[in-house]
Amino acid sequence: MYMFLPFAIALLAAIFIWFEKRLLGLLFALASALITAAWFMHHASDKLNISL
Amino acid sequence: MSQFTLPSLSGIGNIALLLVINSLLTLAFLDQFINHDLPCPLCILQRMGFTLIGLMFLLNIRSGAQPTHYGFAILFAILGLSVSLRQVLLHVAPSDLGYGDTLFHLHFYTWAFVGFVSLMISIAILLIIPDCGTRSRHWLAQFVCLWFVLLLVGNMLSTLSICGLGACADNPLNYAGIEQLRQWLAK
Repeated sequence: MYMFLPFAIALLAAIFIWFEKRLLGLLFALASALITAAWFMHHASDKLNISL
Repeated sequence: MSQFTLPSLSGIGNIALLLVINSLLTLAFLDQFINHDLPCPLCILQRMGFTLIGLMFLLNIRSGAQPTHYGFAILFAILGLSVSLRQVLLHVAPSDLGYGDTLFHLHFYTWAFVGFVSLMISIAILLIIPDCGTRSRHWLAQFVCLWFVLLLVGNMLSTLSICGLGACADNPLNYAGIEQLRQWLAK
């Protein structure tokens, strides 16, 4: 999975939105959000650097 | 609807918020290129959070506002807020100097947290204002939308040049994607 993929899919969403394809734009935006969330899970699964 | 017809109050709100997102992303780009402060993976994900919210404002401006768009914008703001909060917590220890540059004594990820909270409050206000049509073809709306799309292209190319084809380094020091491309071309 590539880090630039959410931006690439968001760009497709923006193109669909620009040409008023609302549903397709919304679907691609959601797909982009899901990949962003997956990347966040990947990068946030290590321990926090704090000692309490 | 001509390019000189002014949009309604909610329309102006959507354009203004997209302008705010454009300004934030442009500021991040300026810091990246002028101060050579490469974004970390969490920083890139925060940029993505702002981009996703911006897409919903773009949707409102191009196709008209719907509760679905505002609902998703709030969800995307929560996603971005979680990423920025995670990064704030990573650097909360007293001896930790934080990651990257500061602006008015706060790191960019702390500003991102403030930005996501402010956007959520702004979306709530937009939902309170009566919707008299947010769809606009005013030249200012067209300009802000085009600026947003160009920033999206820029962010995609920037991420590709920093991370290459794969995950980003935790602390990127150079454009690894460009190095990968050079090595591939040299073969």
